[in-house]
Amino acid sequence: MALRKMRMLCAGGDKTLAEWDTQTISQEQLDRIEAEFNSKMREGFLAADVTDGRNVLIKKFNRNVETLLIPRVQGG
Amino acid sequence: MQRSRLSTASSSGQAEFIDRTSASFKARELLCEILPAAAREEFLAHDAFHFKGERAIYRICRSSQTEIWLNGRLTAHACMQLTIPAPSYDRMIAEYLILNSDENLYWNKANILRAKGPVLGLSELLLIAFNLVLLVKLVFDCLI
Repeated sequence: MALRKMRMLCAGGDKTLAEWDTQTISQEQLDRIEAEFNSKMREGFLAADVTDGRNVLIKKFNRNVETLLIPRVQGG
Repeated sequence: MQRSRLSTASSSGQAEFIDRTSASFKARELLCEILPAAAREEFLAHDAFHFKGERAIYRICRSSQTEIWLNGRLTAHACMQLTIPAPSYDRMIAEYLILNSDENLYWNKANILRAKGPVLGLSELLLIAFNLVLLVKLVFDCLI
């Protein structure tokens, strides 16, 4: 069993958008999570795979990784 | 409100009361979860950590702009912000993840400001020129 989350940085620190068990989650639920991921990416979010210290940016949703969504960044 | 004492909260080593439900606390916890061990230790001690990239070494700080070090010299400051209001620790997370993954993207997104170094400005150059003129005049007067 592997529990995975999709989190997002926000005013409250971070917020969990979805949490699932990779072995038991249904395709329908996965599709919903992936749709939310894609929607955030279209808004300009960056996504990172933070599973076990990997800490790399990703472009596509992966059900097997811990995902952290980063709101759009800009120069200050 | 849940409050507890956290002894490693400040670089001064003094214990502080931390609101464990606060956005800042949550963001700090997440940053500690993400950082590699060495960077996490440095961050807990100094509220800042270094990241060694291919182009430079970066010192990512909570309360000031990121420092860019090249060949042992502070050469620039980088300013990057999230487009939402969020704790500074979240900005540090974003900077670290972007640098760790795509350093060029960081340079494209951040505002990079060259650090003020020992380079002479116009006023200093004018003063040096003026002093040289005085010196030449003094030597010339002595010779005549």
